[in-house]
Amino acid sequence: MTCRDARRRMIESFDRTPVTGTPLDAHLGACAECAREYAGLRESRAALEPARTVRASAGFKERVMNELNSRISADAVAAPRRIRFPRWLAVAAAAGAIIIALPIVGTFTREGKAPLNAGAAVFAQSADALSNLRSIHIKALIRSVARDNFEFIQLDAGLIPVELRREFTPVDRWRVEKPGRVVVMDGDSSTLFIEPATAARGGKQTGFVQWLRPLLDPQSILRGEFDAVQAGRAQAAIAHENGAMILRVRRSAAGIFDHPWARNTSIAQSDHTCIYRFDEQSKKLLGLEVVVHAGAADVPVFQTTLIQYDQAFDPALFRIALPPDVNWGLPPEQMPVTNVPLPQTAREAAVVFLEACASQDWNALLAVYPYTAVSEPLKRKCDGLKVLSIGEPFRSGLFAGTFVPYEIRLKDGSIRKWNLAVRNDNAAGRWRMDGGF
Amino acid sequence: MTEIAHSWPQTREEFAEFVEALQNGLVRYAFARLGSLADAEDAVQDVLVRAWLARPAHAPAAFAPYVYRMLVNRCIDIQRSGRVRLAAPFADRPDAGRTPEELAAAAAERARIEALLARLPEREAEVLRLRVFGDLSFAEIAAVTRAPLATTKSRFRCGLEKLRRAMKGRP
Repeated sequence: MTCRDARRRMIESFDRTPVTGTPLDAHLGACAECAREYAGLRESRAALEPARTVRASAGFKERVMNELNSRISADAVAAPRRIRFPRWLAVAAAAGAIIIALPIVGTFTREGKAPLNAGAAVFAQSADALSNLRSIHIKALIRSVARDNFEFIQLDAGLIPVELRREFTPVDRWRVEKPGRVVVMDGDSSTLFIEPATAARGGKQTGFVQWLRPLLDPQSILRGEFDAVQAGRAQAAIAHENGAMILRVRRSAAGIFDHPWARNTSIAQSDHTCIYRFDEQSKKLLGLEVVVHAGAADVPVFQTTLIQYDQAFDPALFRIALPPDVNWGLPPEQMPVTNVPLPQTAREAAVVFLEACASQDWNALLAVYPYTAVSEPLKRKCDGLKVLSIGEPFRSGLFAGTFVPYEIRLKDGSIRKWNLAVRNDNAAGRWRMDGGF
Repeated sequence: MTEIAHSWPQTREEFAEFVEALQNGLVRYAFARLGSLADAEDAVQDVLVRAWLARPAHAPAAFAPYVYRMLVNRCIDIQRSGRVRLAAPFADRPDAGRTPEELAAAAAERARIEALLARLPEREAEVLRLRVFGDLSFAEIAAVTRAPLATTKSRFRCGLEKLRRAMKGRP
């Protein structure tokens, strides 16, 4: 280790979860100058350590939750005052099967308007009405491809099935699946399995299901959409039809699109409209359709085909039998320190990954490939691979990491140009590959 | 295979879990900035509630850095407005677990540390505060301050080096 490396490692040793297993101690034992510098840094850090630690006072969490509840109540009372629907539209709605589009919140004003209590009242009642739900079962079709993220959509792909089950009692647990991909939350933790043999573990809140998550909390859907409208993140329209309330919520693509790579690769990253159907009486969700507005085209990307409530599920649904040779995804802090220096930038991470693939150096690959082992399909793909170019990193959409353009030639002579996804948004700041190969 | 970070609480139960997990770090940080436990807890409470009410269904950032960024801005606003209740650092917050002596000692400690941090450029002091009091990792601090990770570490190092020189009475 050089003194320069040692200086970098010194600062990393002050991180919350310091990288262990580094030869810093050995260097400090041999280099008096670095040892002096490190002692000085530690002394300064110690001077900032308070002898007595302040903590939140007793009952703080309860006060926060009480404040939250009182603000929600205040919003529910205040919201109707902001809702102004013209009288003629109210009459039309009352007449029945005419679909009318009304802004729930906004500056919609006309002469002869009458205040109506629409969305606010509905969501205020819906949470109560759904509070005794025992379970929900949703079947739907999504325009996506097998095995890929639940979040992922592809506008030119076919519709494939996706299924969600959640049991609220006696144990709060759920299961979401599509061809080649399933995630199960058994009440304590979640397990993601991707065929044929890749798996990852997460907590109760791990975001394996992403955009589908609100569907597992049906009592929160209306509240969430209403909040989005109030915060100006969405526009909504409401209509009544044959005993159902039709709520249309339109959102612009979320994220930064200086580079368009991630646009329309998920519902959130698309200009889209969600069309919900709720039962007027029970406030239960009856159906959901999502349409992506891609230029001049409107592309249906999600459509429920069945929603059932209070079904009893087979407990076996909430367990996953994994193959014995499963390749586990590793959290960044458990990724090994290998024979290559850890990359410090997105481009360095891409270089480490692609060069390790080309040289079939699996040990080096594990520096940035967050799994217990290199899978056989990946090894086969790397056979005869040649890196032609690695470009400048860019960000796009909601992805918390960075995309790095690359061009490779495969064994069969075909050229592939794509973008490698890498990220380091973790406590250790550790760069890892996250797709795009 | 690109996973998007979605760690925002979507239900009240999840929010309560986040409050439980984050409350001490947030209050410690706000106390370091404001010097009053009452002000600190009021600021943290307000920021947490606002963050949850404005939760995007699909947030581009993790919840904790977002809340910390809101809290940093809120503390700066409070300090600029001069509304800090420095005269009674622990007013209105009875806590059976702490004696008046302990509370007074904590306030004195805070004053001592802030006096040290006052010698640093604010950006370096802020990284140190977030690391020491918020117990955030460098990657989280980078997200809160919207600075590159390498810059964050560099500020931490420079801050410690300047502190050392200051403590030894050197310029």
